[in-house]
Amino acid sequence: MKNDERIIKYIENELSHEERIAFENDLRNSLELKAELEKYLTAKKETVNLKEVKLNQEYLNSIVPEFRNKLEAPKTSSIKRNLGYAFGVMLVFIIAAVVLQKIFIENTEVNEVQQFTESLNENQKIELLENLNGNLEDYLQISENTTEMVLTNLLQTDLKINYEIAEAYDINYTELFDGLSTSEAEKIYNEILNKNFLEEVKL
Amino acid sequence: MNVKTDDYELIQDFLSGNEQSFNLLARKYQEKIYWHARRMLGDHDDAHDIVQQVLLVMYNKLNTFNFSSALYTWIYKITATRSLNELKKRKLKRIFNFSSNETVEIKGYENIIEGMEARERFQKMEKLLMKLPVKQREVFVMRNYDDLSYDEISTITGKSIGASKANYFHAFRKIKELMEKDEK
Repeated sequence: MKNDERIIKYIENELSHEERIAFENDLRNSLELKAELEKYLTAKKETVNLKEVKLNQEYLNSIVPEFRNKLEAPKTSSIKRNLGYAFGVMLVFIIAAVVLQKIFIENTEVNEVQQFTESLNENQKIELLENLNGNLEDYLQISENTTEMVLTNLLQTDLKINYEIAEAYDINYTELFDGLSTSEAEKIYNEILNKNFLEEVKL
Repeated sequence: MNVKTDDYELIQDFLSGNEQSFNLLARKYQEKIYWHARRMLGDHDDAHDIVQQVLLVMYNKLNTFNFSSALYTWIYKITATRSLNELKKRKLKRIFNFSSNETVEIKGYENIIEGMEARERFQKMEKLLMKLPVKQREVFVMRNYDDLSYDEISTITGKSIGASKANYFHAFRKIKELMEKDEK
């Protein structure tokens, strides 16, 4: 067990009796370990002390009345709401058309989607986003979970990375993608996929 | 007047039509919901929205709560999911270039938090929390501020206890490192 892990487990009271005794013995003999423990204890203290921070009572008192007001407020006019939905659906159709056009006409260099979104005002953008959120949420959830699971498994088997560490570091395809250029991310991802595939073929 | 504070009694009372009992439940949990959301999102407005959303879910769905777990676990699960959804929305906004900021701006109605010194310390810690990956931040917040056990964290997040412990370990180490860096 590394020192960081031992220190955190010691602070969190997660060492076994024997491990605790051994750790305390090491503490007596190592100034370095003692100094490191102090740093962790300071961080813990500062973190836990902030539990004492209080919210303004006036604000707290306003939460339930605001909720009640929202609950009792008549629903917004159905005409306005229907117009909003119609506008949203129209935007989704336009986006879909633009995206499809982009797929089928490969030589088109102009980024229509970006131009289109830039031409919208803030309210239109929010409306579009809300509509897209509604339609894409399930898709995003499925696709993100799948790629994350697949990649985590690949990292575990191919790169010998512990599953829990991969998860703790939040390593997933999108995160990798964020930090790399498109070509770099694709190259790395494909290399991992190919490597895993070849190993499976050998088996 | 006999004031009911037990969750079970309050829920039964509310489901029988006593709206006042819901208000008592809301007041009991509103602060916990706010702090979890605030620490996850680093923003007062978003945290406030999450509080209102969670209260609405409670109001509409308490009739489906079957007491197989504690009420606070159920509430934390809703709060955690809503907070993560909000973070996903932010990510989506960035993908569509609706928001140009790569990092989350720490803002909020400053006098929401009592005391200038406490406010400053909170804001400092809030900035550090925003630097943690979401999964690590979630476990760190649940463990240190919401006082949840790994068992409860695992139930709420749907991750294994081992994964929760690993997330907590890396979060704690990172916070310590960030604090050290801050002091230099």
